Amino acid sequence: MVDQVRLKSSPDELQALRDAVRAVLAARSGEPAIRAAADSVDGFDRSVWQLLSSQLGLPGLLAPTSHGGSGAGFEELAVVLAECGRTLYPGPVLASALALDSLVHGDSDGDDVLMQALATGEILGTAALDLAGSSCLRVEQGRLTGSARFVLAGAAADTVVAIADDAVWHVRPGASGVTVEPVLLVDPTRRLAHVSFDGTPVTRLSGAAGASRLRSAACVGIAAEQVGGAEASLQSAIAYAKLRTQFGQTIGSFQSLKHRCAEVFLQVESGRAAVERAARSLDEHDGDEAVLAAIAKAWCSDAYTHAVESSLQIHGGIGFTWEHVTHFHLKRAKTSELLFGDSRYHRQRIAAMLGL
Amino acid sequence: MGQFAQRRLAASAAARELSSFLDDALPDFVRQWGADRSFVARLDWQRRLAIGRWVAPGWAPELGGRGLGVADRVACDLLLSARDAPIIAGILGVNNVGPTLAAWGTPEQRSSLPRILDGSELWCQGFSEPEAGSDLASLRMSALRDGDDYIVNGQKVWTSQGMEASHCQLLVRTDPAAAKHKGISALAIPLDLAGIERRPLRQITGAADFAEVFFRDVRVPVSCLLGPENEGWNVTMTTLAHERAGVITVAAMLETQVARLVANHQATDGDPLPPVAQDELVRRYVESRVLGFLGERSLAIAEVGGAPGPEQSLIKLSWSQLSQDLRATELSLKGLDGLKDGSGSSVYGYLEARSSTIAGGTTEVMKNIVAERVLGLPKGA
Repeated sequence: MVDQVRLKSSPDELQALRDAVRAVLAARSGEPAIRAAADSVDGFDRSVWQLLSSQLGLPGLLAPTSHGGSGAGFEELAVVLAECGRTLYPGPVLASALALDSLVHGDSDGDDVLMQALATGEILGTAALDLAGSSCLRVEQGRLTGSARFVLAGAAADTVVAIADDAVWHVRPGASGVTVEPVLLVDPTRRLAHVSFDGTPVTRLSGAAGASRLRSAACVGIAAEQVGGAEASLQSAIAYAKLRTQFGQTIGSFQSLKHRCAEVFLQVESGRAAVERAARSLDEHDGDEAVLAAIAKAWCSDAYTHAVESSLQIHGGIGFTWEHVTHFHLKRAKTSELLFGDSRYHRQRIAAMLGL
Repeated sequence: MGQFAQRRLAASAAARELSSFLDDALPDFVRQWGADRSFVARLDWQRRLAIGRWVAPGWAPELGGRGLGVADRVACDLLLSARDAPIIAGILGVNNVGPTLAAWGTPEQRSSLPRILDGSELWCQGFSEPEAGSDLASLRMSALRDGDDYIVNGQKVWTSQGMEASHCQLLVRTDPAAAKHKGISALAIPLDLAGIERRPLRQITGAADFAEVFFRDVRVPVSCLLGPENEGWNVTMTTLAHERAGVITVAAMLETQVARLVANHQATDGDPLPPVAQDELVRRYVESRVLGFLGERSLAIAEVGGAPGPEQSLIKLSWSQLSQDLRATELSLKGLDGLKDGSGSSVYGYLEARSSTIAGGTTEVMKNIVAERVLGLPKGA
């Protein structure tokens, strides 16, 4: 465990972070850039990643200042991920943050050089989780075997943290016995891979508590992205409803549309509150992380998908075209919904946590 | 108790003080009244609370309150609910009318405030009319000036506690020629004036918490005017702004109710729920927690002095839906046994919850308000 003084941001500081990320993403990762990245081999533009690293220090939010990070926490990361979700930014912000968090919160002193490299964005990390049957891994005598499916940024990542036998293990860059098979699902802005291990040497980072934290972190991270995506979809629908005229009036003046927008707004704001609460729990280690993260993932998975489906409906025919951005959000929403488990899966987990 | 409620109570020194007051006051009350929660019993409870200055801890100290902020008020309300304290009899006077009198009233009108606290004056609100429900501003009850009096004619309906009340905050039309929001005045009147007739209105629960109130050539002195003439709409909005703490409290109480339902079904004893029922219950749990988060966020904004924002409407929308869904889930888990009638039963709660999407702004109107005022969608034709 790395000693860490948590620097808690004020609401104004969170807003400043939000504005800064939004400005860079608007300038360098707008819709044309997203489309270009979607068609590229890597799936994301390394120069934008370098900019986010050098200018904003995004990869190092969760690392202590002693390790090249900014000593922030999940509250700040959630703000950043919401901006990434808004613009469908395809870079490995969440994947790398998950690896870094597991290293920072490992039971023994971690590899300082590696943490620093992750925090500065020089190398990329990811996490292989066991949620929703995504992996089947085991460790025998310090060697990891088995396959992890649908790993975030699995092809681009240099280093992996993996859950096996309810503990967290670290796969160093260049470790032997690792096979990566890129998987392209319907969402071209989210690159996944199946990663197989065959006697890969690993070091143990933490036990069941660390594994639980990693699952929670993954759920809260995705949920934060989902809130951003849902918000962007709603805003796009509202903007269109104010412009589009049919039957001699703007369609936004029709009550059926208003009510649909109000319902989506309620779901988005509720999701935002759920993510903020779960992020605070991860930062404060208050013991409620697991149930709060499951609540956030369950809620935001449904909210994002519903927000995009509503947005598509409000956009009408134009929303069904390839040239409109809505379908990228729809595909992202569906992928994010099922990644790490959908709402039904997490309600089942919550039932178990509640002793039902 | 729900997690939100627990956190609020732990954080409030005022709630701890109230708690030690209740340690004596509640057993005393129960010795006299047992399980009786009739209006008379609740009136007595209000008197006991008034002695400890706990009826309206949010009011200014010079008015008989303690000047508590939103967070402490919510904590006190949650504590009262958690300790199963009776609801005070004059709830509308304390929560809604009192703050309006304090803000707009003449010195004579403000002299009602101590009597509102100890229950010697019971106030209702004469707002809705047969033709003015959601569209409250279209109300027709006329008040025509005649010397130093208004002559009031018309009918109010769905008047909560209209039968028990001694006084009424009444909305009337004083300028029929003005635009509908502009010709309304508020009057603060005693209900024993000649020409006022009240009839109980029985609800679907079988209880009669409502009344119809008829006014036939009732002479109301002009001194009863509350706030300036034709400013009644603004005067009324003051009242609604005071509902902030109330909305948050309701959200937290609902979370507590869901936590109780979950506790009743934990599989430590008895059979686990069938998967479909379990999923429905967990849905309610998730919804109640998320509603609690919205409430906490609203409180955080209030604590740094922020104005009530859209989150108030969102909490109302969310709370009203959840209160209905929760009752339906509760009934579904109990089966036909849950349909046994009587106050406090599951079916009573189910029936009562049907009002949550109607009273205090229907869900449909709330959605319009959110869409137009928050999201900026154009008003309909």
